[in-house]
Amino acid sequence: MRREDPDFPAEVNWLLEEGYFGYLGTSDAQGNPQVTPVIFVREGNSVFLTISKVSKKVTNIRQNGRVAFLIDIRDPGDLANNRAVLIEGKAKIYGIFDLLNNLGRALRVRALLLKKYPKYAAFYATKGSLLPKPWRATLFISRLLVEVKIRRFSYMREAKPVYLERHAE
Amino acid sequence: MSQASAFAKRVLTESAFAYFCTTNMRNDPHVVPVFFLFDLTRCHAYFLFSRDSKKVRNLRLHPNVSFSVDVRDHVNPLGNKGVMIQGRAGETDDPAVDMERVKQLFEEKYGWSRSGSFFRDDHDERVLVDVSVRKISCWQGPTFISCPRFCIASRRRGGVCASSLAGEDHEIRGSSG
Repeated sequence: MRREDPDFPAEVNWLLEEGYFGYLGTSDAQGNPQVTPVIFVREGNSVFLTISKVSKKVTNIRQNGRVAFLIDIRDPGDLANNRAVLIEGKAKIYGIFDLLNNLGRALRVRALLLKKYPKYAAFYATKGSLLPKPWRATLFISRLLVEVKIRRFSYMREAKPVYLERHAE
Repeated sequence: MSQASAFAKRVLTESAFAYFCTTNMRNDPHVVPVFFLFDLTRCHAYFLFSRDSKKVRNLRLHPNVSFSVDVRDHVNPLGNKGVMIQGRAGETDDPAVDMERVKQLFEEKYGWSRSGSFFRDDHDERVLVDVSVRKISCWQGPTFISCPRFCIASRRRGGVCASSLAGEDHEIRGSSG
């Protein structure tokens, strides 16, 4: 665990670090939810995502910043042997000034994304220009950086909630 | 049938996990991985949830729900595929739904694990939740397809999913992410 990381239980830390896909649940102002898979990195007490500017997720977050984010590890050999953590938090879409004010953190997030998803990074570096604009990786032109500050988490094992010690806010 | 419709049918009938999203009274989303059955003829999804779970409490307040079923590709982002459904959920009280039959179908789909039966020991504490589909969105890499045509219910007159009434699948380039 990095020194600046909050004191999450080991099971939650493992999912935050090793989980490959997360499922972002958002809801518009009328309470209509949607959930889609995304890639992510954890930085300190937050998870960071880069999502398409034109996606419904962005529209929903602008209307209602409260989000749920689920990270799970599936066991194909035993369906009951899965691990998941549900994060509840507040999403913040970074504008240019937010990025400049948090440049060090944003650069750390970029480095973490490149380290965690090297094959995706290689794909975008070599073939990204062939993709439709909303799918490309260019920040602000195609994608937005979104921070989800972790307010609460619930850990699930074998398809049942398991209550772990509460982390520091 | 288009390739997307075929994929959506396959993933909805064969995939083990769905990610089910509800909202509470304060409009806070809640997501959990769940087991499910999808009835292609009625275009309904079925879930067996614990009676006192948060998702059941939420859907009693806000019946509009969403769930995603996806196929992951760890190497190529264009290999990621999935289906997201938005619909209306309720604890089923339809006498036409044979609860025992549904439970049998769940057992057939999920079978037995090392931990025992799919139902294990809380069989009686589960409620059958029925989601009637209002909209299906399907993605394959950067291509987003709204309302694949396989869904009979979504093509019925008066159905909410207007795009499916137009005929073919609707493809919108680059709307995912």
